[in-house]
Amino acid sequence: MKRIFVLLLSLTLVLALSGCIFGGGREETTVTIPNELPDEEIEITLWHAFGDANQELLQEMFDEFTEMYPNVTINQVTQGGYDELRSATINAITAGTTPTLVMGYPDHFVEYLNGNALVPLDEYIEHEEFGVDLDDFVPGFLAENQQYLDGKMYSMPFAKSTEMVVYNKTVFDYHGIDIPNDEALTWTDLEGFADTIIGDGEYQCEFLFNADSAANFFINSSRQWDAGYTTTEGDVLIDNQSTRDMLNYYKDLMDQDILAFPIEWDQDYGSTNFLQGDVCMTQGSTAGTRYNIPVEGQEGKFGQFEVGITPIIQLEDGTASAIQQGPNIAMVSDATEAERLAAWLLIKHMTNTENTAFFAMNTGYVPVRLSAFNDPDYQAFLNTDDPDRLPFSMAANVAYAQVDYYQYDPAFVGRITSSTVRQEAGFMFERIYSETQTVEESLEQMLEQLGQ
Amino acid sequence: MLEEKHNIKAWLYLAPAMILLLVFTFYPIFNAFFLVFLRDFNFLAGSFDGFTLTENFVYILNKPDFKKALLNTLMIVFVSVPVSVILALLISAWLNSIKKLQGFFQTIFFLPYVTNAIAIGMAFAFLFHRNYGLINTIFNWIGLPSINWVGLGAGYWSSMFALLVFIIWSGLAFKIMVFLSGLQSIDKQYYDAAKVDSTPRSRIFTKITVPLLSPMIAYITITSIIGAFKEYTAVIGMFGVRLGPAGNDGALVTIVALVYEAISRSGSDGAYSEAAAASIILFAITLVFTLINMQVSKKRVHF
Amino acid sequence: MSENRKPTLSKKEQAARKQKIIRLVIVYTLLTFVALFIVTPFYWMILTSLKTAQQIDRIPPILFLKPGDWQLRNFALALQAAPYARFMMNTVIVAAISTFGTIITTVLAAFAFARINFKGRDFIFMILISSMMIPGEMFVITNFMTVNTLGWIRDQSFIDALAAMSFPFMTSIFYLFFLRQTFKQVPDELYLAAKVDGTSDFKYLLKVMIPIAKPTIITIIILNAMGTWNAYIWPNLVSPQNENYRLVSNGLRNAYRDLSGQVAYNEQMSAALIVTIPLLIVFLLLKKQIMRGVSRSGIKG
Repeated sequence: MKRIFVLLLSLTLVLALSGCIFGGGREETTVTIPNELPDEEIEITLWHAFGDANQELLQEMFDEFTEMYPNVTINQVTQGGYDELRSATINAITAGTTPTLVMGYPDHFVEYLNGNALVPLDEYIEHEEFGVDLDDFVPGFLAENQQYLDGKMYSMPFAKSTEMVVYNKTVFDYHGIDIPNDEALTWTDLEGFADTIIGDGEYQCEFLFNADSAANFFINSSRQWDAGYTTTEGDVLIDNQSTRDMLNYYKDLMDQDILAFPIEWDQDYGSTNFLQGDVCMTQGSTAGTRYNIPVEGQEGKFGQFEVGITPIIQLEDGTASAIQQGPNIAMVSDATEAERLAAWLLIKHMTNTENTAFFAMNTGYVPVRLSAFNDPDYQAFLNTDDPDRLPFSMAANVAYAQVDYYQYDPAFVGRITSSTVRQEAGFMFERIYSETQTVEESLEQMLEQLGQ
Repeated sequence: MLEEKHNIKAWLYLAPAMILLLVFTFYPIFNAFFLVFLRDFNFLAGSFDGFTLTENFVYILNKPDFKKALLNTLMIVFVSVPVSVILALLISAWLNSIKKLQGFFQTIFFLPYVTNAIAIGMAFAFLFHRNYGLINTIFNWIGLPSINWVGLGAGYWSSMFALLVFIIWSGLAFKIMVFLSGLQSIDKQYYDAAKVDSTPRSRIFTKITVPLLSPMIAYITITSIIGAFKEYTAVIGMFGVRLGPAGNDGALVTIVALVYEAISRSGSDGAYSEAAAASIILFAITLVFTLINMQVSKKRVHF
Repeated sequence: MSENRKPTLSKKEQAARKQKIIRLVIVYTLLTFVALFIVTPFYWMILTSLKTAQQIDRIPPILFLKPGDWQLRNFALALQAAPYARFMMNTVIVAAISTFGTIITTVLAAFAFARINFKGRDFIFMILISSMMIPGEMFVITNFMTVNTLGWIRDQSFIDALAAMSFPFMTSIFYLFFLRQTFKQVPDELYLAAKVDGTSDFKYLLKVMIPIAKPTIITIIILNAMGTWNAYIWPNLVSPQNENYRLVSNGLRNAYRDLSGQVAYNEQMSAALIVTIPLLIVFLLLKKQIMRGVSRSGIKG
């Protein structure tokens, strides 16, 4: 019996060793584009991580598309969240059960590329008939999709967002401080506000400024301070004096209660405490606008106060930089030529001027095309009088105001990945904030964690 | 001859379970085991760059977090297992000794098992809140100062304590159920005999109940140890991916956390081999302790 | 003898009775404390599910809500957030299949380990225990490939999805170990007596072992079914092409997440509660089965 068992076990071992498990290796993808979309029935699938509301918006775009190309069927499946989307896609690539199109972040795409699983889109983009004019796209968004090591463009921007600063207009108005909606303040300005705004007076807050994401704050500040962050090859460049200067500067602001993070209140986001009047300015994703708007009967120090929105804070005499986030769309290489063309046409449709404006207006996302900002509907939205829509419109205006200096952080895989570095950066800033470590110690620990 | 007959019979009874286990348990284990000897394994392309005996193990052992992960894991095992087993034993003994309200209490004690892990993680984070959590409120009532358990800048010991409470809380329901059903199955005859001799209750417990319950105690202890070595979800439930309080990230990292970290990079070359190495190291440690446990308890388990 | 004897208790009996009452009071008190410890997080969950979004954020937090303030609409909203009815049905089916499979495989295998003498029994058992020491995440990708090879992922039908979700969990060493302990506690005398009667092993298993181990078996059924309720990663992974095939945990996790990652906690808690209640009902119905002690009146003399 024992012998039989051991025999069976060894059999299983041999099976495992014979490697009939992992990976169908893929060759470099060759691209051939048919002259026109074939008549046959074509079915394409898109995987994303959107909830119901956005799925409906996508469906509207899909319905429009299928009217133009009736032989194409489009399936969209949500995987729930981005982590689930990533693992589902990775498993699908290994098993050969991939969708045609997948949304995701460059962090994910470089992983898929490591298995040659994505189709380079350059030939589609430059195609005489089916191509698009890249000049119309927001340069920052494009750059993020063109960063891959072989220089090819493996994805197109789709649902981009950025960060903005929401401030307590009631408080600032009281002190006669006027903050523009389309021009960024600097940290010097904020230092100027400190004495007026910080305190426990009737029109004051305990803290001046909250940044929702310590990681984003670090990355973006690194750019503003020219302190270096990472490269597409996976180099970590933060071990220098500029980084230290930057960290010390912000530590100083923390000591003065000018800068805070949500962990101050054991929260994940600053919106709760912003609404309750603990902090007078909060920096977060444009997708989170509605959480920062006081409601009728709002509880908190100021009740239902008025909000204003302004671009993210820049550094005086530094490099202008605003972070961009949000998923892009990529095409998976398992599809047939006909399916690929159909998928490309769908991408083109989803990112055309009208649709990108439409999508942006109904979500917190930013249009990916410059011409979309001039779309009449979008213009109306940017200039709306409707008080309910005003905050969203202000957020959109801010997004547009920052359009010239969107930056992405390079995506790479390896022993440490771009996500690892980003996460460690956030933690490092938190350690500085909580004073569990000094600036130097915190930076050293981050470098150690990253194997530097 | 008789033995052979039994072999075939055993084979028949074991077959259904064995087939499933070979396919869904042992096959994956061998796959994983195999990976640890590959260099630069590219999971997506199914390619690798040569063989290596120790590289992946060395990499894991040299990780800055490894020592911390090992210590945390060991602490979780050596504290949460004895405490929860003993607590569960006592609670089920008490439950077994009452008639009225037994069903009511039993249902309450089973609640942790049916509740949702996310919800509970949040609830516990609240319980231990530094300003208005229930624990600190009670502390203040009895004159003790508030402690920053899991909040901004909380220390290692306070957050480890909170984690252990959470783990013990989560594990009680199953243990109580097993012990209680075990207790209920003990033949009344044994107790009647003891009563005739008017043996004191504590002696009945230690000399009769516990030995009769020993198979269940052994089962619970062994499986709890194995489970405690694999602990990870409790840390995530309570602290999120930070694996510790804000300002003290990674304070409560465990060995399985290292496995997950590697798998989250599965698109990178060599990541799966790292995960495999960490799993095998964990396996070795768990095996050693389990074998020790089984040896020590061999004499004490009576069927 | 003397019909009119007044029911006075001797000093000894009085003391014993007093002791009993004291003991009961202590035990009930201890149990109540434990119950409070157990229930408190649960209470917090229920409280959160009844609050408005604003009330959740309030500092210091609200610890008690008058019935008039209960936001029962949270439950209605929660039900609409995801197709729970469908998810629950999927979950029940998967739970039923995997539990059915588990019981069959586990009962047979536990019998072998407990009752049958075969070569290498302890060695094989140890190997099985050892397999529990590997973290679950390491199994996922291989099992995914296997399930794909079996044809359950590509062009997946509902049956395919059910199979993919339940087959890898149709046996459990965890419960096998549990049942084996229970089976081993059945006295040898019963077996020998049955053998003398000429009963086959299988009949013995069916007629004697299983009834005696019924509390354990019911416990396994309940626990296994509940495991399915909370399963999230695997079911999502093996139904990537159709959200409708997924299980109840999918609705709970994802329906309340939005673009910016912020969560409507009150609705999420209400949903968690809604999903928990069927489990509780099942437990309440079955727990008598677990708790009915089995009398060993089978052993005579």
